This record gives sequence, structure tokens and C-alpha cells, in this order.
Amino acid sequence: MMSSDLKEFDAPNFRNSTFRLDRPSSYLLNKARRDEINGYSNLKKSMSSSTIYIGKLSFNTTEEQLFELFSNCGTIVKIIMGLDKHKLTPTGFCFIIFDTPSGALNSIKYLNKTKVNGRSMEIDLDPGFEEGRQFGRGPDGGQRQPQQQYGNRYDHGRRGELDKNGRSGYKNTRTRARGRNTYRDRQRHHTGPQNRENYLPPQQHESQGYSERRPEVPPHLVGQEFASNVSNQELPPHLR
Amino acid sequence: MEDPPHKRKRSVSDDEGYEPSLIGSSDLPGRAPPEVPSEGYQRSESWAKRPRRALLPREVELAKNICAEIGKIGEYPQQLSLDLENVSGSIAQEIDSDDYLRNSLLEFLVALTVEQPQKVFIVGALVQLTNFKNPKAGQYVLEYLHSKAQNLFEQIKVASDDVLESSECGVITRLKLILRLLAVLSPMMVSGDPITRTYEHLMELAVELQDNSVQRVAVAQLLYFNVLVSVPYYLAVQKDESFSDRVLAIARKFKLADVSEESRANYRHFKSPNRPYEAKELVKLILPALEAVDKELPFFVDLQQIIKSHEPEDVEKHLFQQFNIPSSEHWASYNLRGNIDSLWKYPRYVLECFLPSVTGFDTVPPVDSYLSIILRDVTQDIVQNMEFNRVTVSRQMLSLNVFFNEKLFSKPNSSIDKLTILNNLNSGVDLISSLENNEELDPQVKESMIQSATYVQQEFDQGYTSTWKMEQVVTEAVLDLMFHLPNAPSPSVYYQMLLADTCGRDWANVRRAPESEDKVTFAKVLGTAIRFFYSNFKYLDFELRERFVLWMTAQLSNFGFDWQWTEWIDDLNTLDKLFYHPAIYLFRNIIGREIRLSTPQTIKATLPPEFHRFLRLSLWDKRQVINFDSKLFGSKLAESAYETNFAAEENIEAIPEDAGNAEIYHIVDQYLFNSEDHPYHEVCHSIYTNIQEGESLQQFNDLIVLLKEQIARESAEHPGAEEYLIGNIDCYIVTLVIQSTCIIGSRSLSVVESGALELCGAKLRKVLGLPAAEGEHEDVENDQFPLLKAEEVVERQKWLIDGVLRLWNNEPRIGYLILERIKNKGFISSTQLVDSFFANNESLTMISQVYASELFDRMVTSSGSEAESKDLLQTFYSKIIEHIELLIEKLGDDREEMILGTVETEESADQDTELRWGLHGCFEIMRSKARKFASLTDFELLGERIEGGVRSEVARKYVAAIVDGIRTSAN
Repeated sequence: MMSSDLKEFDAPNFRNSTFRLDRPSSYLLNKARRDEINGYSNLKKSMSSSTIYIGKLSFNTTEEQLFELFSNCGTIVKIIMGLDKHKLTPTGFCFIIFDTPSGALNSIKYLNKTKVNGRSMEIDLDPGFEEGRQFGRGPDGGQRQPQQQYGNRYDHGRRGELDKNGRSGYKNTRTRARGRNTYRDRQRHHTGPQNRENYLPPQQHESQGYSERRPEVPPHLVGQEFASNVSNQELPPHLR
Repeated sequence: MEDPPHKRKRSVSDDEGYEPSLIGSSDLPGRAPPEVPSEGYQRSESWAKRPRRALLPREVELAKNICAEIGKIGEYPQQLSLDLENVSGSIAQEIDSDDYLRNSLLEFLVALTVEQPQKVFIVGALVQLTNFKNPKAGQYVLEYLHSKAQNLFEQIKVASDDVLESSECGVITRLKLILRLLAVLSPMMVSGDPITRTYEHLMELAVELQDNSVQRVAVAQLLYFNVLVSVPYYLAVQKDESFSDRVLAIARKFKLADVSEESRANYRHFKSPNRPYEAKELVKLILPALEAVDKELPFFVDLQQIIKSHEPEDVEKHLFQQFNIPSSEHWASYNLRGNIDSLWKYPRYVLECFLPSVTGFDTVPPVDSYLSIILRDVTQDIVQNMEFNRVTVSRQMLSLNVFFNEKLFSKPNSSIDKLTILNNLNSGVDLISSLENNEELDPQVKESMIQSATYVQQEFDQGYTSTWKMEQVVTEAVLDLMFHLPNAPSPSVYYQMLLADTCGRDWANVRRAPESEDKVTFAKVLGTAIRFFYSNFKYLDFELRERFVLWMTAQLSNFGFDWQWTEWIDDLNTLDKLFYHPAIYLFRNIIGREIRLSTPQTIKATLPPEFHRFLRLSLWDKRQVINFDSKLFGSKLAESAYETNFAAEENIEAIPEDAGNAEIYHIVDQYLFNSEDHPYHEVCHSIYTNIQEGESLQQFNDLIVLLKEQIARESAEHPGAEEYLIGNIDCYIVTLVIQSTCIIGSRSLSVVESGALELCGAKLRKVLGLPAAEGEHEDVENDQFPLLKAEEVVERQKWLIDGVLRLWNNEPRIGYLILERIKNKGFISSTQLVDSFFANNESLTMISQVYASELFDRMVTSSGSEAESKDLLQTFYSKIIEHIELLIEKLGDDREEMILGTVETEESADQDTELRWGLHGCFEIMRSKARKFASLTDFELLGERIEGGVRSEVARKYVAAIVDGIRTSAN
């Protein structure tokens, strides 16, 4: 496999006495190295796109929390929460677009590996947000690859292009294998409207958000989703 | 040894984006670089193979390795001599071999000098040792430094404003650091005269520049300081007393120009006559400090012995050219910019936060000593010049003591108890025998006390007699930057995270050394600093109060929100009735921001019950909420809804862990249009559905007609029943539409912004009486929404703002963030938002909530045009003046002691004290914003406003003086 020339990104830096944090991460570098055609230009873009990617967020991290944290780095234009592509729930990553590149560079310099909701964020520069990248690309719809069998050398075929952080890249070329998730799809259909964490902007012909005063569905009627994490012993007798 | 091909080489990714741990030193000079594997081999590997960093040519690898070695010298003092010997050998051997290598090394040496100035003696020793082995190397270094310094002098002549990025080291500071290295290298020169003459020349320039002006000349002060602070570096290597005498003689001629008292007040950290210490200007400290300095310079690491031990008999010395220094006109017109340099634009005061009054003895060197000044100088250079890598900065800060005379400081992580023992030992107390003779102590306790005293005694005998803590020195230097007025040089989040990181790193170090007795972590030092700021919070500059809130919450949020709130309960109890008191401001904003950074459930668990009332973030109190709701829904529903909601909101523990903001703050419950007890809830729901489903404007219009008809009919059918009567139908409709929009977008800010507001835009414009946006024109039959006159629109926009704030009253910051987006889309104006910060006379949001002040700053800095920003500022000023007037009126007493008297020492918590604190807040936020936005402030107009707006003479003069002080120093 040929690797592409990353020019100044691979050249050692003697202008500073130590590493600069406001550079693309090793993840981006490795990714760019694999990408002969766009690798270098994507790195260049990441330095000037004013966009950062944040990974390893807890699922309950909100836009408002991120706004509170990052607005000191620069003027925020937009926060795009990463969503599970099936359930449309937050899935632990997001993009923040600033009005100038310095906002993005400040974020990666000052806030990378600091904590929000008790977890360290992984911040990286990003070549620029494109529609569709807000959805997780793990086969189950989330960002993270499901339980990975590391150490199985013969398992390459399934590891795809996801790295150890379960991050998918900026080239939206991979298409999801069809038919694998039919069960999940059905389940999603079933429980969809009740999902409180739905982040999609309201769309026509779909009741969202504020719910009418309809009676609450008793738990035993909710279906598969119910009690998946409750052991049988804890249920009242008539539901066991 | 070459790695076998299957073994994975260390790649960049192993460093996790931090410090590159360079390929081991086994690859140092003399070894052949590993062979580059053939392409064929790479191709045959499976696709899963991680592509490797291209192998670098030999000279590049070599340069990297040598530089990595140079960067590490000095970190282990015990092998310093050996390291210097080895690395200088490599440099001497290789520097001639290749241009790339030579240039890289020289570039790196300068980078190290500028970014890690604590190592200047080490770099000096390294270059001199190299010079002994290969005199050409010494020549290269001197020539390179000469050209670099000369180049910097040339930049003084360039008038352009944007040569530097704001995060880069300023020209004069860079010059200071390079000249400092040259001073240390002066023994390599045939004569040190070029260096001493340069310093003398620069000092003469400083004197001349300041003599030419009656006002303070920033460049002159910076030159004066930089020369003086560097003098001991020359003295350390050349025992040339006459030089220091000559420089000091010139320096004594320097006129320390003062700015007016009014201006000075703007740059001091603490205000009021009762401030914790007398503010000291840095520039005034340096000359006396230097005059008093110990001529032996005991604080520097003495490397002369190492150098001497390697010195051959006949050393080749080098000629060093004089610099061509720009004339005073060039310096006079030079505009300070870049890191550190720009700190000097305004009078620069020294922040002190570890005062001996707390412990009874000094824990940091006296602030007016040369040691204190140089440590602050070096630390701040490190912090600013390496702001691109806070990890290295924090590492270097923690090891700063090894680059100075370690024995001037206590050992790292020493506790205050230990320092107290040391202090006693210093004053001749024999602690061990006094413990042994103490009969009252429990024998076991006595035993352990004697044990630790013996331990301290041992250290004392080894020479660690000092009670100074280096951790406090560096913390103070970082906080001095974070709290620099008018602006911190970098975004304050940098300093916050730098300190938080340092805590984490230090904690890891402490855990790694379990056998050590010294376990007081860096976090304790920060705790001491936080307590100092807390106890002097009422004297602290208003803007710094905001920065403190941000710092403390950032610090706590990185360490599990753990804080000993109980020690502040007494204060809370005494001040409970006050709203504007700085301590209450602190509690409110710290707890509020903690919640914003996490969740109410998390924060509640960290607070004692006394502080639970701050978990309620609402801007409107019960009376205001019920008033608002009564006008729309009648008092019966308003009151019962309030009671029900209140109970639910108090039950913070019941919030599910994965709840979103809408759920946490019970947004839907505040939306009473949907209450079954509201007679029109059905048609309201149809309107909600219409908005949510994006149905047509015509249908929307028809539903409004229906609503109006129903209201008319029902209120006629139920005369006297207030729930049927809608006082103001227009207000009702505006509130219905905006609250529905907010409910639809309640999931998150972006849903409001790109979802709900897009979906509802046309209808919002209709109800506000605004013209339709381009492309959404739609003729409506029986149109209920005529275009309105400007003042009618303004009234509706106020209803809109109130509607949002009412709905989000449980978390008004989100309410304001939503309003900011509504403003960005042009439905309301920024001045209306500023108005709303002043809407509540009893609790002005503007001076009591950090988020309001932040939003105001954002609106000023990111407004569409300069004119708009200026307008916004003027709105702000006139509002403040209006409220100064109102507060004085309420106070009913405009004697000087009431308006300007020291409210800080007021013990009582009565209504007058409250009003005086409110007044104080208005004065101080005026100062803060005028200082921050001096360039956007029309001072003449502001002067007129003050003249015409403030009736009380005392207050008028005071406000005018604040503004005047800013105007004169801003010019």
C-alpha cells in the first residue's frame, strides 16, 4: 500500500521546543496517509475549517453544556450533535463550528482531554462538516463499534474502517450492509415515537416532543423494549 | 540495533497527540539509520497493516534525536554534567556535517530559549561545552543569535500592525530572551562589551523615550524592566560589578511616570481602601529589588564549575558584532503587541494571593524581591510562549525548582504544617525536645508527632530550611495572567485548564511516590488561592469576579465538583437577605454554572442543604410568575399551577439520569395553554398542532379567528369569571405562538434554531406584525395580522421575550440562549435583550448573572456592524445610569458615605446595604464594560448622559471619574 506524502505535517518541527497541540491528531494523520488523493488537502482543510470533532462524550451531554464550555474558545456558529442513525439519540460525539479557525485551534489546545460530565473529551480538528456525518456509522447505528474482538487476526473483514475509538471518517463512502439490522429496525419502529431523547428537528406529520395528554401506556404493553434490563425477579408476579 | 521488520515501530499515535516521545537515544550519532523497507514488502502486507510514518532521512532523524536530548537536559540534576557532556559531544561532531542539521539545531536552541527560559543557563553551558570541542559550533551559534536579534531590532522599525499573531511572543520579549542567552554566552566572546553596551544603550533609550513624554510610555517601561531583569544573568557569568553599576546609574534617571489615580484604579485587581494589600506596580519594583539583590546570586543554578571543568587550556574566543539598534523615534512609534509585550500596554500591577497574613510566615518570596520578580517573569514567559502545549507547560511548571537553586524552596508538595515546623526551626525552636518534654500529650500522638518532627529536622539539616513553596509561586504567576486587566493575554479557559491539568499531573506524581512524606497536592494550593479570593471577593474588580467564577467552576468540574461548602455556611446565613452582595453573587453564579456544566442532581449531592436554594436558577420569583400567568389564564390556574410545579421542581432526585433539559426544567408543565383547567386549551392545542405540523398560514389564521370567537363567546357567557376573560388577546396570541415554538424546539438549541424557528418563522412574523420574509409571502383571507407600526411591534417583541423567559424561568440561561438565536434570526433586536437584563428593578440580571454579562459581550463583539455595537453599548450605559438614579432614589440619601462609603465593611444585611451593593454593582459593571469596549465607546456622548442622567452630585462625579480614567488611558 502506498502512503501519501503529508509534507509539512510529517516534517519535524524545530521552530518550537515541544510538540504543538494545535495540529491534526495521529488519527487524522494516519487516515490522511492512507488516502492518497485527498489525504494532504484534508489535513490542510482541517487547519482552517474552524471545525472540531469531539468524541467520547457521555450520551447525556447536551448542546447547552458544550456551549457553556466552548464559547470561551471563540464564537460558536453551530453545534451538531452526533446521533445514532437508527434511534436518532445522542451517541457520544459532536461537531462544533466556530466563526474563525482560531476557535477550533483554541479548543484543541485548551480543552482536549478535559472533562465534561466526568468523562474526558477527545477533541480533534476536522476538515469540515458535511451533511450526513452527524449520524453514527457503527453497524448498530451508534458511533462506537460493538464489542470488538481484538486479537482475532482473521477477523479483518468486519473491522472495516473504524479505528479504536469507533470513529468513522470524513469520507462518506462506506455503505451499511443491508439486511443485518432488520430486527433492530422493527424494534425502532415500534418504540420510535416514545423516544424522549429524539434530537431530530421537528418534521411534518410526525408527532414529536410535547406529548398530548394521552394515558400512559402501562409497562406490560410497551413491548420488547420493556424490562430488557430488569431481571425477572424484580417484576411484579403478573408480569413475570 | 535494527528492529525486526515485524515489530511495530513506535509511531506518532503512541504519543496520543501529546509530547512526542522520540525514538530512543540508542539511535544517536554514529549509528546507521534503519534501512527503508522496499516497496515490494509494503505492498505485500495485508491491507489492515497500519501505514507507517515515512522513515526520515538520516540528518532529519539525527536532528530530531539531538533536539529531544537537548530538551531533556536538566530535568535530572544528578546527571546534568553527564548529559551536557554527551549532548555537546554529539553537537560538536555533527553540526558541521549538514546544513539541515545545523539550521534545525540552531532554530531549536532559539525556540528553547524563548519558550523555556528557565533553561537559559543550561543552554548556555551546552553551547560553551560544544564550543570547547568544536569552536566552529560556538561561532555558528553566536552568528545565528546575532542575526536573530538584529532581525528583531529591524522589526521595531516596521509599522505594520499584523506581523504577529496574538498568541506569538512579542518582539521585545523575544529580544529580552535572546539577549539573555547572549549574556550567558558572553564568556565565549573576545569581550562582553557588545552585550553590556547593548543593555546600556537600551536603558538610555528607555530613559529618553520616557523623558520625551509627560505620560506613561509603555515601550519605555518595558525596555527598562527587561534590561534590569536581565542584568543578573550577565553578572552570573561575568563578575563585572562595573556593568551593573553603570546600568543602575542610567536606570535611576528613568522617570517612573504615573497615570492618574482614576486610571490606575482600573488596572488594580482589588478596589476599595480596605483591599487585602497595597497594589504594587511591577515597573516600580525592579530597580530597588536589583539594588538589594544578593551579589552572590544564590538563586541561580551555578553551572560555572561544570563549564570550568571542561574548559581546555586555550579556548578560542569569538568576535561579536555590535547591534544596529533603531533610533528612539522608531521605538516611540512602535505599538506593543504579541505575548507578554502587550501586558505592558497599561499599568501592570502584581497580583498577590498567598499573603503571609494567612500562615503567619512567608510561603512565597517577598513580592518586591528580585527572586519573586524573576520567577514570575520566567513562569509567565513559559506559560505564554508555549500556550500551544499546556501539557509541557504544566510539566515545566512542576519542575521549575530544579532549574533554580532548589534549596531556596521547600521540597515539592510540602504541607503548611511542615512549613510551620520549618518556620519554628528557623527561629530557633527545638521542636523535638519540646515535644518530648510535653507531658499533656497522648503518648501515641506524641510518638507520631516526634516522628514527623524528626523527619522535618532531617530535611532542615540537609539545607531545606525554606518555607517558600514553588507551587504557590507558579500558581500566583498563572493567576496574575488570568486576572490581568483589562484583558487576559489568552482566553481564560487556557489558564483554567492549565491549572486543572497541573493538579492532575501532580496528583499522579504524588501517587507514584508512595514512600514520600510530602503529599500535599497542587490542588491544595489552588484551594488556598480560591479561599483567598473568596475572602476578598468584595474588593475584587467586577470583571475579575466573573473570571473567578469561570475558573472555580472549571476547576471543580474537572474534579467531581468537590468543594467544602460548609466553611461558607456562616457567611451565607448572615448575608442571606442580600441579593447583590458579592458573596451571594459568587454562590449563585458558581452553583448556577456548575449545574450548567453538569446536572442539578449531580450538584445537589455536593452541596449542604443551606446552599440548596441556589439550585433554583429562576429569574422570576413566585409573585412575578403568578402575575404573568394570571394575566393570561386567571389567578386561580396561575396559583394552582405554580404550587403543583413547584413541588415537582423541588424533587430534583426524581429526575431520570438521561433526562434532557426540557425534562429537567419541567418545560412542558410551564406551558399552561395546554392545561385542562384552561377553558381554551382545545383550540390552543389545535394551534400548537398547526405550528408543529407546519400547516398553512391560512389554517393558522382561521384557528386564530376561531380562538377569538370562542374567547368572545365564553367570556360573555361567564361574566365575572376571570379564567374566561383574556385581558389582552394580542399578548395572549404572541405568548401562545412563541411558547409553542419553544416547546417544539425544546430538545436542544439547534432544534430551536434550525428546526422550530424555521418552521414557525412565518407565523411568528405574522403575530409580531412584521412583514413576511422573502419567499414566504402568502395571501391570507380574513387576515388577522395587519402590519404594525414600529412601536406596536416593539411591544409585541417584549411579550415575546417575556414568553420565552417565563417558559424557561427554571433555567433562564437557556432562555437567553434561545432568545439570542431568535435575535440572530431578526425577530427581536439586541437592544431589547439588553433592556430585558434591566427589566426587573429588584434584581438586575445584568449585574447579578454572569451569563447575562457574557451574552452582552457576545452581542457587542459579534454584532453586524460597529455602529450597532456602539448603539448597544450606549443602550447599556443609559440603562445603568437610569438604575443608578433609581437606586439612589430608593436609598433616599445621597450623602457621600452612603453612595461611595465602604459598603464592604458593612455588617448589617438590611435594605440599605442591599441598595448600596446594587449601586456598587452598577458603578463597577460600568467600569468593566467601558474598559473592555473602550474603543467602541463614544465617551463624549457617555459624558453627556452622565451629566444629564445622574442627579446626585456625589454619584455623578464618581461615575464621571471612572469613565474619564478609562478614556485617558485608552488613548
